[in-house]
Amino acid sequence: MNYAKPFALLLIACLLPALSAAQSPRQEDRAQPASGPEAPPGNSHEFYFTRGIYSGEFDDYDEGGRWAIDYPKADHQFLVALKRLSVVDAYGSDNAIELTDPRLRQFPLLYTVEVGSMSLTEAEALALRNYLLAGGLLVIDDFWGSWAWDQFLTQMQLVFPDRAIVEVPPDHPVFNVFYNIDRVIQVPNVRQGWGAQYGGPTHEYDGIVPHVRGIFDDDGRLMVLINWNTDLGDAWEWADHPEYPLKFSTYAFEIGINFVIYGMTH
Amino acid sequence: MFEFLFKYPVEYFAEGKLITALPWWQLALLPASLAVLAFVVLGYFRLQGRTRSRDRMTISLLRGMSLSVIIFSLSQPLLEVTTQMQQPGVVGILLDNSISMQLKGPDQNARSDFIRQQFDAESGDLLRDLQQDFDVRLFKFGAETKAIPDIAALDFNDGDSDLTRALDFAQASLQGEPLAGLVVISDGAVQPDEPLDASLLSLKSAGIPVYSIGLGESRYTRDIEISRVKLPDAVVNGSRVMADVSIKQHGYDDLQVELTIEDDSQILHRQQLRLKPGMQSIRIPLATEESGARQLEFRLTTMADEAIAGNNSQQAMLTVDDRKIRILYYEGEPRFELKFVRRAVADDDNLGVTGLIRTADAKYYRVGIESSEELRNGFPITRDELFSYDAIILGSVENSLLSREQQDMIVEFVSERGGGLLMLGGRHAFTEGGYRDSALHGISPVVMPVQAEPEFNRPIKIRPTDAAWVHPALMIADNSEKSIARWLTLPPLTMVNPIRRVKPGATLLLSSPVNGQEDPYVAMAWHRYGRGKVIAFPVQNSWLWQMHHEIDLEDQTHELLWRQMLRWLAESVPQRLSLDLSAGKIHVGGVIKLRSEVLRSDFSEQHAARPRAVLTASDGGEQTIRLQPHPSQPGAYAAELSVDEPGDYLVHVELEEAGQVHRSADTRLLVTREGNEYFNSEMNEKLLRRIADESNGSFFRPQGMGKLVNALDSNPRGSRTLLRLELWDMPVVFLLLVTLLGAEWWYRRWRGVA
Repeated sequence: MNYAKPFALLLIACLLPALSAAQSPRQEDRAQPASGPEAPPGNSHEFYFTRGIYSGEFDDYDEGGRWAIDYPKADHQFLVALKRLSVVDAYGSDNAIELTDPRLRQFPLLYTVEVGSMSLTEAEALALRNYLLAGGLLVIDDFWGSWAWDQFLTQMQLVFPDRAIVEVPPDHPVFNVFYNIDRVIQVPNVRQGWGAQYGGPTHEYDGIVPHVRGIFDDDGRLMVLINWNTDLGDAWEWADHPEYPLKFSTYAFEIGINFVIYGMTH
Repeated sequence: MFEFLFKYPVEYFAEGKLITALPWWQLALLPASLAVLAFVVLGYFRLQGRTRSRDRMTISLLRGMSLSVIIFSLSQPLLEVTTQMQQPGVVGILLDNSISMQLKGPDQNARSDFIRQQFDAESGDLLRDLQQDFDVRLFKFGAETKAIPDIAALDFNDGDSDLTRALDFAQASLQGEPLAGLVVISDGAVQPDEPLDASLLSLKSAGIPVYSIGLGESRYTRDIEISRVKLPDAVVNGSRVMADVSIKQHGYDDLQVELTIEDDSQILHRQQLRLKPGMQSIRIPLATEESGARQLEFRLTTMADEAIAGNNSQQAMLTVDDRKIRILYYEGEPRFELKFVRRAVADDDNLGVTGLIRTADAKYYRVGIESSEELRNGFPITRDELFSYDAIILGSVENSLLSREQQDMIVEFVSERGGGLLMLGGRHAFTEGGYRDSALHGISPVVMPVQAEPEFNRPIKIRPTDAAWVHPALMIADNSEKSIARWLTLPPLTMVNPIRRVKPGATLLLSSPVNGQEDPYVAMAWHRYGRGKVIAFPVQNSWLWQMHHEIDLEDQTHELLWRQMLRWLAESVPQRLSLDLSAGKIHVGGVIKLRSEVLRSDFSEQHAARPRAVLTASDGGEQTIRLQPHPSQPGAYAAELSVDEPGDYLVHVELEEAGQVHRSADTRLLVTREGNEYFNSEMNEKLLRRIADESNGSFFRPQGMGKLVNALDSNPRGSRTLLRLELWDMPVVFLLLVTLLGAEWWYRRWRGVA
């Protein structure tokens, strides 16, 4: 009898509380949003990894919002990789900003997570719509399963009531602008990533198949990149953890850098 | 008998003037000679001896008279006299046969009436006066210049009158004749096609004066005229075109009139304007929406009482090309500027921006390429590849990313190819990018500071200079006023390249004031370098004019600015086969000069080409003419073309090469009976006076024409000539001298004086 798999699953179950706490936004990680660079923003560096702060459901044990999952460590670690692997003149720290902040449009690439918890106000929906139509690119990450998708869909319909969400084709430039991404893989959170080494599942809820979907404008330009059933942010955040599989963090960095380069060139 | 003694007829002495041929210093010896003479005579008179005083006085008188005759002869006396020549001189009369001679003045007399009255073979007063002293030859000039027997050959219906050709023709026709002068009788209303300088110099050196008689009013009392319309020869479809319109008026100060601009009967622009005294110029932005050879008509309100209604509208030709401008945008690092520039021009079918972006060390990304081979090896290293673009945008690319050869090639791209270069600001641009001592600094319109300021980073509020008011690239609203107002409300950008000086000859378009006292920062400047243009735009994030929260979502400022700037930078870039016409409108029979430039694929001059021009009439009829190599411009080919039928024509150039026929864009040519005769039709006294003054002639108005014959007579080669006759050898002088000396000898013998 092969005891390896049951043992691994038992181990994961024992470590679950600790890992769960780790991947949730802890108080010390949940730093207050940075005030952003001085006005006019963007004048010191070309690129600011900007995280969108939206209204949404709150964890019952946390003061912050779901927007701050993996924040700011994931942002910092992604920026380290971005600066090391490319010549993008990136600001080295986090830059979280509310969707209704007038400076939002001065950061043409916006990263948002856990949009299944998103509950946009009318002002936020309008600001986001204007941001995207003006030329911004929204990268969405880390939401899983059909329930979260439906919730996200409801929110996006507040922003674009009549724009279709479609699968981004594999030959789209976003997959080869810097790294050649042959196939979209599911990037698990840290808990499942650890378990995946031992044959555990990588998905959460019913989000079994990872997708990169998009909303395009009238000229065929990507406005919203939707990473569904995958968690790039966790891979960035835990890339320095010896137990987190390299293949997931490597892929997460590669596609993340592709998103940035694509957002700066298209 | 008188003529025998005095050598010349008595009339000469009656009308002539006695002068001497001696120079002044020899004349100064005359008083000395007289003093010597007086001294000799006095000495002789005082001699003591056997002679009586009466004898001495008589002999002294005779000797003094003899010496006087000798001194007279030695002083080289001349008789200056004006006399009629045996063969009368020739006078060439050039009569203006153009339509403008039909224009009537306030007295309802046409300008041509003067010619009909004064040069009628039977009753013409001026012709009769001239014929009394001269051999008069008549010429008419207008569509052509030719000799005519009398004024019956004039119909005053020719198109443009070309004075240069007329003067050259008359001088050549009368070469070898004793030409007393040429007389031009014209309103001088049309400027000659060719400069007059050479013709006037030739006349002056040949000693042929030109007398001009100006006909018509030198200034209309009441008239409105569109005196000039200037458009670029060719633009790319969709570009904004700046039309410069010059309006001249008298008698309608402060009147509000309407200016309408039509493109083949479709109204492009309409505006009210208030007439200023004299001349005024306005610049009108026009949008081009249809490609092809366009004919735009500019029309002003016509008043019932103005002198000429025919000069209230002007046609101007414009070639609207539908080609795609190819622009290479090179970035040394990913920047949002490239994203938004590409986005700004995305809807413009005539602009294609190919991006080459360094994304990592030795790693490049190409965007907007037309084929997989394009820019495969990075920034072009051959002329063929680089010169296939119309313009280059250089972003934040440090100097070391471009080899010396590549930079030299960019210099040639601008100076020889005629391409455009746009140098953007950024942390690796200008001095901060190490370009201070590079070849690219040499072609930049700005003076890059010696020292880089890597820490410099400042928000700047941009202000347009006066030159930006009417600049086609910077017109970001429907008119100048709205455009300037918009510029002043645009949000600030940031600058990391502090530049404060533009080079001599460069134009500062945008600046950013610094403390109100120091020199402003240069935000945009341009200059022409060789055949191309270079713009420096040392700001790093013009995309904020798209993404700033103060910019309305529907605002098109950023898009408009970039489209216009790139089009302006690149649309005049020479194509491999081009055609220029010397004018867009000529009169029937007028000559149009064609000039074509033929370039190889690397845009070097092609010397052994055989291009031909094809003139297509509106009925489809074609006329082909072979262009010949230009004598002084390598790679250029030229021909002259005359059109005998009025109409609307299209002209293009064709070149057969390797079995393929390449053709240039069509250019429109309008041929009318009147040409430009109704424009600038006031009597051009300045031109007529200049012709007279520079050839030592005179200018007359009709009422002063009586002086013309005398002026012609005074010419040494006219009907009369000025003679200077020598008098020292007159027989009477010899006889007088012999008689005086003989009388003295006889007296001495008679009186026994030694």
